[in-house]
Amino acid sequence: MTTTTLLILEALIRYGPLVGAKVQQIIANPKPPTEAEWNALFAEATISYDAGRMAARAALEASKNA
Amino acid sequence: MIKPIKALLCFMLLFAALPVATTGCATPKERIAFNAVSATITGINIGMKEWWTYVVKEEDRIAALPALDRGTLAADLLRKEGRVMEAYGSYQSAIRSSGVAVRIAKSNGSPLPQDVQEAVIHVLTLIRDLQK
Repeated sequence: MTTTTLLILEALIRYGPLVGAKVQQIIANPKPPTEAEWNALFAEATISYDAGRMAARAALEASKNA
Repeated sequence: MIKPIKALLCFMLLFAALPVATTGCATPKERIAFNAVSATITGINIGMKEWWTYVVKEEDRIAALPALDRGTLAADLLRKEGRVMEAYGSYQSAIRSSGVAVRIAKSNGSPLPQDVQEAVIHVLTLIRDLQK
């Protein structure tokens, strides 16, 4: 198996559910995006470094306690 | 085990092609553009999530070491974080300041503006290299 095939397989295993959700979203919503959707999308790019790091710390602690 | 970030890059390529592959003529160009921009932002968010997880795990690993061994490793981790923080900040500024340009460019079928493309590649390359 080539490296590319392995990469594609791993990508599908790791991110398959996300891809599936996206396909559903595309099929379910073929309308042009609204201004609010664009704004919400760009808002996803504004997660601060510290907030992301704190969320990762919280997730790690939660997994230790589980 | 293949580095997750390589899988992520691969995923982004697949993901970016999806809107075109899975939509018919009825789907407006702007929706396709929206999904392509969404793929980029989602890809960076996944990459950063993996980076943050790596950082907090490294912190724990370093904290468990004998005191004498901690200093250099902790400083090294801080330096790495500083580099990623800077690159992530540049990506955020690029995408924020050119939000409208990104939207128009993608709706016209053009690639993402150069500064956004460079910032995205820089963040993903950096977090891949620093986790080695």
